[in-house]
Formats: sequence, C-alpha cells, structure tokens
Amino acid sequence: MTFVAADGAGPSIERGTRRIRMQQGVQIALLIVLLVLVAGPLLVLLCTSFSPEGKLPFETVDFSWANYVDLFAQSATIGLIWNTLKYAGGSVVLALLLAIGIAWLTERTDMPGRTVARVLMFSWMAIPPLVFGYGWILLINPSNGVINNFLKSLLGLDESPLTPYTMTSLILISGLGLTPTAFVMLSGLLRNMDPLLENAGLVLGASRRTVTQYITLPLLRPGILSVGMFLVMTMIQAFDLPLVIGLTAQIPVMSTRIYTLASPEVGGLPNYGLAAAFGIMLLVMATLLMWGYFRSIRISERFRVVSGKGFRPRRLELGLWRYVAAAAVALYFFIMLLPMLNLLWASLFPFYRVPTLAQLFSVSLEAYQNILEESVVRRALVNTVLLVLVSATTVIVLSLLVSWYSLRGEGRLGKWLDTLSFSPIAVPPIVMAIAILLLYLKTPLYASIGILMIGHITVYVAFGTRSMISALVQIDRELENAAIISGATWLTSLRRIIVPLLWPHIVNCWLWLVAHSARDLTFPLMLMSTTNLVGASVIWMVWDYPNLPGAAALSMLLVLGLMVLVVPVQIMTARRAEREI
Amino acid sequence: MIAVRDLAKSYATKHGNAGVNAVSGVSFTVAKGEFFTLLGPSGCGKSTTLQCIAGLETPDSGEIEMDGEIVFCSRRRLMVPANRRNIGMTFQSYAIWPHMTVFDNVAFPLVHSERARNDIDVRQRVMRTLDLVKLADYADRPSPHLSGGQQQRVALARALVHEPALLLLDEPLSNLDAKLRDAMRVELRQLVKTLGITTVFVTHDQLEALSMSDQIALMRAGRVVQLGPPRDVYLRPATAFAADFMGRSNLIPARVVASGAATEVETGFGILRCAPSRAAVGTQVHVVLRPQAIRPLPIRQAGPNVFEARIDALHFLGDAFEAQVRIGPVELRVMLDVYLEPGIGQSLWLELPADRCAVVEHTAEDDPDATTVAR
Repeated sequence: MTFVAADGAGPSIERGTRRIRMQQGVQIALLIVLLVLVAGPLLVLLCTSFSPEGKLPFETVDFSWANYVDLFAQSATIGLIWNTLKYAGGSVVLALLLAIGIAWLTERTDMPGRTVARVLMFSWMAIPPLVFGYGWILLINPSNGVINNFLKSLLGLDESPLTPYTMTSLILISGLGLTPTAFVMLSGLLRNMDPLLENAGLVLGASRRTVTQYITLPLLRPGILSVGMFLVMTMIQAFDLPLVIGLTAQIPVMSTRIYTLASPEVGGLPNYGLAAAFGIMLLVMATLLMWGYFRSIRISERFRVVSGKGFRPRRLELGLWRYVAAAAVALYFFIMLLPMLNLLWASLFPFYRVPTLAQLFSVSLEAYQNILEESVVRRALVNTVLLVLVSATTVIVLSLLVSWYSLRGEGRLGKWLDTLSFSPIAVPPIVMAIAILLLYLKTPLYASIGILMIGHITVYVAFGTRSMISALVQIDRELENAAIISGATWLTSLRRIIVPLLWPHIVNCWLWLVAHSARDLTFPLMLMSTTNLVGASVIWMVWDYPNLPGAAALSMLLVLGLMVLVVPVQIMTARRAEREI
Repeated sequence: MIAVRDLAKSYATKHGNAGVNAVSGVSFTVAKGEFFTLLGPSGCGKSTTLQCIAGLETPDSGEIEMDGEIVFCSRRRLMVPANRRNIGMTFQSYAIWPHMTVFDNVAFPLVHSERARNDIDVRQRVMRTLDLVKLADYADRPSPHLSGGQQQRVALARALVHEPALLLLDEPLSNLDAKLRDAMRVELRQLVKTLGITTVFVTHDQLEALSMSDQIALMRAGRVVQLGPPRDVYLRPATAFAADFMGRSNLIPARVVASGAATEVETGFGILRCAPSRAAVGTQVHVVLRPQAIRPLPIRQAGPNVFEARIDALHFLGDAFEAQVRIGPVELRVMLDVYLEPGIGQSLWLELPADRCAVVEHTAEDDPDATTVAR
C-alpha cells in the first residue's frame, strides 16, 4: 500500500490519506519499539557472551570464546545442567500426576465440591512461588519447623525428620506449587473431550477399564505430552523457589547460577561474560523445548476431540467413592494452604513464635504496623503499584495494536510484528533480565523502576498478543469496515468499536498481567537497586535481613492484594461455565 | 455518477504464487439515481468490485470516478480512503455494533465521521431516518435485541443517515427468511427510489436482481459477461452461462445452417428457426429457450418450429407442471397447464417460437465441467 495523494489532488484528498499515513506510522513505530525491546537486549547478551573476560558490553569490540571455554571447562556445568533437568523433570511429573487426578475428578465425575476445587485451582496464581516457599521453610525447617516439632513430639525423635533444603524437598514443593498451572491447562482438555468417543466404546461392549485404557488415555496422551513439555520449559526457567530454597541447600540450577554470577555476595565482582554465556545456553535449551512444544501441539491438533458446545460432558457416577475423592482433594488443598496459614500466623506476632493454641489470644497487627513504618517498604509499595499499572497497561496497548496489524494489516509488516512480539515466549525471564541489565547498565534507566517496566513489558507482550489475537479474530471485520465507511478514522474505529467490543477480554487480560507483574521476583531481584525495590524484592530483602514477621506481613499483603484482583474474576468465570453446561 | 474503468484486483495465494485474479478488466458506469446490480455466482468478483468502490480494498489497477471526482487511479497512484468517500454501505452480516443502542448505531456517521458537521441536529436527523425505515419506536433498544429484519433496517438507516451520494448494498437480503426477503425486496427499492440515491447492489440471487434493478452487470470469474436492463439480460442472454444463471432454460446444442435475419440451426430433432443472430454458418452454438417460452398446442398444427414431444416426467409445482419432455433425442423442460391433467408417456405438440429461440455461441468455458471460478 503505497498510494499517496498525487498531483492536482485537492485538499480533501490530502486530508483523506491521513488514515493510511496514521496507520502506517503507528505500525512502523510499533516495529521499532518491539525491535528495541526484544532484539536489543538479546543482541547485547550475545555480544557480551563473546567478549573477553572482565569486560562489560560496549567496552570492547574484541571477540573471544573465553566465556564458553570457561563454561564447558568447569566440571560444575554438567552438574548444573543435570540439576536443572532433574529439578524440572521431577516437579513436572509430580504436578502432572496430581493435576490429571484432580482434573479428572472435577471435570469427569460427580465429585461434590468440584466447582470450589476449580475456583481454588484457578485462583492459585494469586500466590507468588516466593511466598509459597517461605511458608514451607517455616513448616519444615530443621530448627523450629511446625511439622518437625509435631513429628518429634509424636514419635519421640531427637532429630528433625524433615528439611526443605534437599533436592527432594525442592522438587516436592515446586511440584505442589506447579500443580494448579498444570490443572488449568489440563482441565479444559478433559472437559471438552467428546464423551461420544467413550460411549462408542461402551456401546460396543467394552468395560469401563478397557475404555479408559484404550480410548481415553490414548486420546489424551498428545495433549498431556504437550502440556508436560510446556511445564518443563517453565520449570527450567523457574527462579523463585530455587533461589529461596535451592541456594541455602546449595543446589544451584541454571537460573540461580546466572543470578549469582551477575549479583555475587558482598565483595565479589560480577562476571557478566560468563553469566551471558549461561544465559545463551539456557536460551538454546528453552528454544529447543519450545520447538518441541509447538511440534507436539501440531500433533495433538490431529487428535483434537473438541467439538464445540454441542454436547454435555458425561460424568462418571462415583457412588460412595465420591466422598473419598472429595476428601483426597480436600487433603491436597489442606497441604497447599498449610504454608500460607503458617505465614499468616507468623505475621500476627512482632516476634516469631511457634504456633500453639495458647498463643492464639495474643495475636496483633504489630508486625504489619512495624514493617509499614519503614520508608523503604512504603516506597516499594508505591513502586509496585506503578510497575504493575504501567506494564500491564502498556502491554495491553501494544498487544492490541500488534494483533490488529497481524490480523487486519496488509503486507508482510504485520506478520513481522506478530513474530517479533511472540519470540520472547522462548526467552527465559532470567535470560531476558540479564540481557536487559547488560543493555541498560550504563544508562540512568538502570537503577530506576523504569527498567523493571521495560523487562515486564518485554516478557509479557508475547502472552498479551496471543490472547488479543484469539479475541480479535472473533470480531467480524465488517464491524470495523462499517465504522470506516461511516467516515470514522482508523483510530476512531479502534476506540469506538474494537476496544468496547473487546472490553471484557481486555479487563481479564489486564488482571492476569497485573497479577503476574506483581508476583514476579526475577526482574526485581536481577535489576535491584536501592531505588527500584518492589513488593516481591522487598519481601526477599526483609526475609534475608532477617525480619521474619515483617516478611510474613508483607507476603500476606501481597497475596491479599492479588486475591482481590484474581478471585472475583475466577468466581465469575466459574459461574458462567456452570450456566453454560 | 460512478464510472469504473478497467478495474483489476488479485489476491496473493497461500503458496506465494502470482495470485488469483479476483477481478480483471471490469468497467461500467452508473447514472445518477440508478439502481445498479452486480450479479453473479459466489467467487465471481462482485463483492471485490463493491469493496473497491467502497475503498475498503485497494485495486491493483484501473480507475474509479465518483461524482465527478477521481477516487482511485492506479496510474496517478491516487487513493481516496473509504472514510472520505461520502458513501453509505450495508454489509452482509449487517455489522450492527452490539455494544450500542439503535440510536447510537445510526448516529455514528453523524458524530464520529471525519466529515461530521457541527451545524446539524443529530437527534432530529437520526429520528427522521429511523422513521424512514419504520424503526422510530426502537431508538433506545440495545441493538442485539433486534430481529434479523430489524437489524437490516438499522443497517440501512445507518447507511442513509448522513445523506451519502452513493449507497452500496452487499447481499442485504441473503440472511433474511424467504417471506421477509420478498417484502424487503419491494420496500428497499421503493425506499432508495424515493430518496433518489444512486445504489450499487450486490447479489447472487437472479430474482432479486431482476425485480429490483435498473441495470444488471452479470459477472463471472472476475469479468462482466453481460450488462443491460433486467429484461434484456433475461430474454436475450449473450452466453449459455448467462442464460442458465438467469433462470431455468433449455440449452439445445446445434449447428448454424443459415445466418442473419432468418437464422436457422440444425438440432438433434431437425431444423429450427431462431431469433436473428450473427453466428457464422457452420459454427457450433446453443439455442437458449426458457421453459415458459415453449407453447404447447392443443391439437396438431402444421407450421415451422412445431414438433411432437413425449412426456418423460412431471413435477407438480402448484401453479404449473414442469414437464420433462423429449423431442427425438433431445430432452427439454416445458411448463404445462395444471388443469390439463397431462400424463407420463403422453404425446403432445409443441411450438418453439422462433423469436424466443436465442442463439448463443458455444464456448469452452460453458462446459460445466471446465468451469473455473476464481475465489
């Protein structure tokens, strides 16, 4: 589209081309913004990984393999990769087993309380992994863990039987925390499976068990496989739990290794070159997994058994077993809530006391009061609000525009925008964080809250764009054309037609972004300075100080804030889903 | 009012080939106040042509003139975008904005247009237009709470409220049920004729085209194959495709034995006199004959173009019998009076009036199997 007003064209034509110019101008601006956001940091990361030891990016143009030689010469590297894979694999297997079991119960049986279970699972994103980890440390630490104390007095032991600081504990805790994510991805799969396929088996005389073995499971296998791949990918990037548990346990994984290289203990010098090389390695691993994931999705598309709304899911009648099932699911949620209860307890006393009934009458909000009096904390709270509002809103605006161009735009530019905005999905946040650190190290942006915004916008724009495209694709193009024909400009048609029609979706997506931006620890910690502390990083700092009640109080405030955002939406969605079935 | 000259538009295919020609070499003019119809089967390029006139698609080449102003010209690289063209348009899906009331939908062109003027009374204009489409009582309704026919009227009101110079209608009746469609057909034509607004109408339904238009452009595979008033296009089809598309017709393969004013052809059942034609002697042609053009004779009459036929099958349609008859080796369809109680196997005499037998050239693309349709 290169038509412009030409010779002899009157003023009306001159004005008329504004729509095209505006549209193209915005598109080019968008392309530049995304290039700087996405490609810029990764390029600097690559350059840094190839620069000589001890040099910062932009300081040198020399090329050197030193960092990679270093990386592969270290015998620890093999152990590191092994740890990462063991950690990711173990927690994903646990999460999948639990999630498949619970999802089957909530979606395919008449278990009582299944709606509550579903809402709880979907609301779990309000609990940051960091907070979950601290809760477990309170529960099972060897010195005064509540469960350890209980077991010691019950069994008459001298030593604490449990500890969070082993690989097994790390895997168990991460697996438990990952289960809701796995559930969210799997429940739709189970719910939408056409029961006719199963009924056909039953009608043909097969037993329930044969049907499960030969029809249900094989049909679900590709879906479960692709969900598993996706989860492994998220877990090799996971940072929060390996940091709060794994570092004390001295079980480094790739993500925490990048962190310790870039922000060493007091006195050490950061080794950005080696951190960048690790980052590139993690990026390669994640990209390979992403490729495998998309391949497996394509395979599972072939097995698609989703057939729209034209059927009523067949629920298996469990009989009396349904109470057993409900009890088992309740036990799972009890285990999930224990650490949160322990944290809540810790936040109710100015000094941590091991929970007993007698103490229950001396609870107070003193810890909250004390911690909120700290100016650092107050500043962090303001920063958090700024960070989540700015990044979520910017991501929405960028995603809306990118999805418009990729669906409605003419020519290749739209597709480029689409690819560019989607590519960060393969970049682990920890890698993006180190890359952004390297790019902005020497700029005034480095110590500001702005750099956290940039980081969050970059990593979440992929989610935002996918989500917006899936919504925009359902809006008939004629609705927009009707506005243009009525004389509206492109911007007016976006503002008056597209945005209002997408509004419920935009709100949902915005809340997701706010929740994830608020709970993220990777960027706040990797890019931490005295002036850009936010909720997650200040909790980490206060815990480390150590001020346990303060950290617990802040955790509770963060969780409460997130729940206010997340839970109402989940309850509304669940109600709507119940009505539709 | 509008002139379209040598319009061409092609779409890139998935595999990155040269692309499919959606429209090529389309030219026509529409006089002021005329009701002009683009008619053709799906994929013939009629909608693409309309979108090009609207400015929603950019043609590859050609020129479009509107109200004396060039709005598109590939040679001068000039393109006036849709929102500057002063047109009204209704869409196949109606495209009523579901988040607005009926009033807000109709008021949109007055409020949010680039051309919006401050000196007009929006409320009065909208209500006047809603009155025109008999929806004044529905102004404050949320637009999803409307029936298909009402949505159609809202779309029409929205297209007319800003008094555009040109009205474009993209298959406006195709989503209505049959009864409503019949009523709307009459109403729509009356409305635009009273307003005197120039209208370009796209449809695949020949009945709509015949009953509503002043001019029809019959399109096929991206080209205009015949252009003229409805009666002409129906009675004097230029090609076998035109004949077939405009309604049921008998296509009799034949060879020309005499040309000019007294055209005669040789068919499977003998020599047939036809309407004057310029087809050269010896060429293979089709004779087009509508079923209702054939005159059944009560008794045998001698004369040219009278043949004996035998009834093979009968379909009772209510107001007539549609009979499948055979003259020698040639099968024909003919309409018979329901009160005559014809029977299968009966013989009867048919007159094929010469002035109703149109000769059309036989072309390769008339073979139904060889038809390629651009999409």
